[in-house]
Amino acid sequence: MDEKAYLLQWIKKVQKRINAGILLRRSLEGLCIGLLIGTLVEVYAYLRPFYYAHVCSILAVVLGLVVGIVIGCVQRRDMHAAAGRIDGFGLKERVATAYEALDSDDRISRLQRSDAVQGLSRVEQSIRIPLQIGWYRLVMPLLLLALMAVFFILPSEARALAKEKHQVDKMIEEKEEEIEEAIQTLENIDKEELTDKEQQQLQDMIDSLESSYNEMQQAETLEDFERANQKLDYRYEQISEALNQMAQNVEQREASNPSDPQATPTPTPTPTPTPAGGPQGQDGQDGDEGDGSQDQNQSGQGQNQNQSGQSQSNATSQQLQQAAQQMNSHLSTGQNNQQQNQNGQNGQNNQNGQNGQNGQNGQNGQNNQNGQNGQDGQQGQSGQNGQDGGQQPGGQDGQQGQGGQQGQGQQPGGQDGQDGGQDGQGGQDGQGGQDGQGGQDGQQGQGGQDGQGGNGNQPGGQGGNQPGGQGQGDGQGDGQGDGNAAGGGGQGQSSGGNGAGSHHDYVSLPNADGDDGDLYGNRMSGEDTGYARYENGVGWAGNHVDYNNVMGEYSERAYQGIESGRYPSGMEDVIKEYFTSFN
Amino acid sequence: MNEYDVMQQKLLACEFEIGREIIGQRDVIRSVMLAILSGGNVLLEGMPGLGKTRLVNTISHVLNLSFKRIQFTPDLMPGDITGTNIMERSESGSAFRFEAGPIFANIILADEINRATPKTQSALLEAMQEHIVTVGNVSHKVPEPFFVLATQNPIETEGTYPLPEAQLDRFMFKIMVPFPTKEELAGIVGLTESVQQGAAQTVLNGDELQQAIQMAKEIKIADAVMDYILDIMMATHGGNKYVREGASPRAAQAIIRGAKARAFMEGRYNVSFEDVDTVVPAVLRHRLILSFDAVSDGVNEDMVVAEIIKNVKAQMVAQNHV
Repeated sequence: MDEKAYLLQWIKKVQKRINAGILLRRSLEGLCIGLLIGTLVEVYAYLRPFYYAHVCSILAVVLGLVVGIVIGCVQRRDMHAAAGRIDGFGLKERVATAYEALDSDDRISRLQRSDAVQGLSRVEQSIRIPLQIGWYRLVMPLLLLALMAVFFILPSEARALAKEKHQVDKMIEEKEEEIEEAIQTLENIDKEELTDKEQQQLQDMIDSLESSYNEMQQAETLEDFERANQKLDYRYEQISEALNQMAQNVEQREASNPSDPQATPTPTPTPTPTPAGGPQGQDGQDGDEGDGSQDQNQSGQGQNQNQSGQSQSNATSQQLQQAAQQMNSHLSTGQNNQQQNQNGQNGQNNQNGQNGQNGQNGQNGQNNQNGQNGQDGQQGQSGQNGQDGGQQPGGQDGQQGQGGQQGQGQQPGGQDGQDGGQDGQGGQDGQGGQDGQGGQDGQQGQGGQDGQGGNGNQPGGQGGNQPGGQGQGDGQGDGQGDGNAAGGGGQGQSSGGNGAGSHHDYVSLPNADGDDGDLYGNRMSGEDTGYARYENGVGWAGNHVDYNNVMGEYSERAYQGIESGRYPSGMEDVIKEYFTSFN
Repeated sequence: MNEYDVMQQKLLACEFEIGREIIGQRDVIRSVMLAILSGGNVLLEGMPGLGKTRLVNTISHVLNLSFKRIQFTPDLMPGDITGTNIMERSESGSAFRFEAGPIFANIILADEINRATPKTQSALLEAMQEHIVTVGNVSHKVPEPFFVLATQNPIETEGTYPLPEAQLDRFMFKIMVPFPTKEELAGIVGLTESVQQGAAQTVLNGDELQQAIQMAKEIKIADAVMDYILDIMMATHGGNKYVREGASPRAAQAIIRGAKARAFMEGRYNVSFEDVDTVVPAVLRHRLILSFDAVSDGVNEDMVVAEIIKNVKAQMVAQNHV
């Protein structure tokens, strides 16, 4: 074999061996470091909440290995080093010198090359290049791997906390996106058609959502998140209703004076019941007809078509209604269940046929929500339908009469509202008629009262939504409030809200609009306070009164009403039982 | 067997013949041979009576070179070394004639060189470096090969003139002549006090020696070895508290030449780290100027050089070891 080739062959052979050893050593060292870091991370996660511990530890191991391999590649030895390594076997730099002079062909170079080859051939049998891995490089990764695996699978409280916190963070993130979307929707609403007051109200809604956004950001535990979420749901409901009412007002203004939408600004009754007006009276008749017969429905449709034509020109109203729907769609699971219940009720109503057609009316379906309340009041039948659709117990209650009240109190408001909404404005109009019909229903049973409760309009519907089939208590509150007077709707709402039971932690005193003369507490001067956490729950947006105080006051007033005979006969025990249940 | 091998064998034979006259001192003999093979001058330092003069005399005999001894004394003048122009009368008139001094020989033994004044010592400078002697306005070449082998006594420093740094740098090697062992001393006594004197044979002549010097220059040196030499040189210039002034570039040249000569005498065609390690102490020990710390700590040049070699080697091993 040629001397040069022989030398190169040996040098390459040794070079490969050296580089393999380097790569192995560096890889194992990198793995060791990665495992050490991973173990430390796992230990940390065992003691302190750290959700991404597993990911980080695995990443550290992989990264350590990769870095080790990269370093191993970077530290690869060249042929010079390999030749020098061969010289270490007693060749006294013969091979290295010969390799460097491989291209030289002078006499001394040839002699030197021959000398190197002779020397190499003498010692080639003894040339062994160990990988030099070392036992510790093999044992350490195994030990660290075992240690890391132990902490990897060892359950700990910190790990569970981390998992929970991660879930909360995820949910918070979703909610924040949702809130941002809702705020964006509200900001996109065309405000030209709105009165100053409504615009202010819209801004208040945005502020309220931003407040929820901040609360979400500050939430750290699941409990915090649930509180914030419940508040957010409540705000969605409030905003949804206010938007519906706002849309209704816009449409009413347009209907009364299409050329000048600002001419007759109707206050948006977030907490205030809508007063019955002339047009409503007519609509009420329509509504009654709608519920009464097919023909009436058709006539209702006719009007709805007219109104549809108007509302098509009223993009603001549609925006408001769409925004309200969006707010409703953001309600959390519990509320959605209620909505499903409502849908179920709607289904029942649809069986009545007339409402089904109302549903076709359409575009003004949003109106229906406003109208729903009207329809709540439309008839005891609606209430009964609502109960039927909502829950079996409700249905039973409806048959018993009081159930009718519950039905409306719970959701019939919402439900009927939708049905009525399908009826269109007729639904609202139905308010006017409701009373009349309610009377009939009332004769037939408590459902009639519910019908009036529906009149409570927003409050009724609102109260109904929250309770979500909670029980008779809700229905009663609504029904009574409505039954007394339109203005009593405020009470109906409040009591309905309280009656929800599940949300009794929150006591809100609206500080912007509405007839709050019956409310207690110090009203803020046009601004919302930040929310604060009290012993018995969370209060926000306004002045906050301790829950016990509120309940005490309500129960006191209720007992005073019983004594003064303000409530229908036979209801005293129910009221007493209701307030007693909170003790 | 090629010409390199033949020459290498002859050099080994020279070494053997010198060893017949000089008992022991094998390292000294080898070092002197390396210096001669590298074309360098040697400063021998040792106690009186260790055979320094005999060594030089033997070498000149074995190599068949002309030899002159100059005993340096305080009153020795430069002209006593280089020679002088003297006026010579003849029938045709008077004229100056250059009377060559003892420096005009192949091997000069400058005995106890540190006893002469610096002016006289400096008379050797030009001859040692340029192999030229200038007297008056005329430069005279000294015969080739030309070597100066100087000796100095480490004791009796009173009345001596330490060699200036510039002159020390002209000496390729400074070789320490140790006291012989008991066995060696017995051999010396037996050799010198017996009737039959050892008779070293002449092995080489001047031309062959010059040929050998040329062959030694051709020896290959690998980059790694060259780096090692340069690292050693750089290490003398920083990082060592015992070194006040490091070695000059001429020292690096001396190391390379000495290492090549050693490789050649070892029968190799390339320089090894071992060759470098062998010659570095002899090259550096008279070129390093130690600091006061070294003096106060009792550290001498050889210890510093050994430390430098050790550190550089460790650094090299660390770089290669992955």
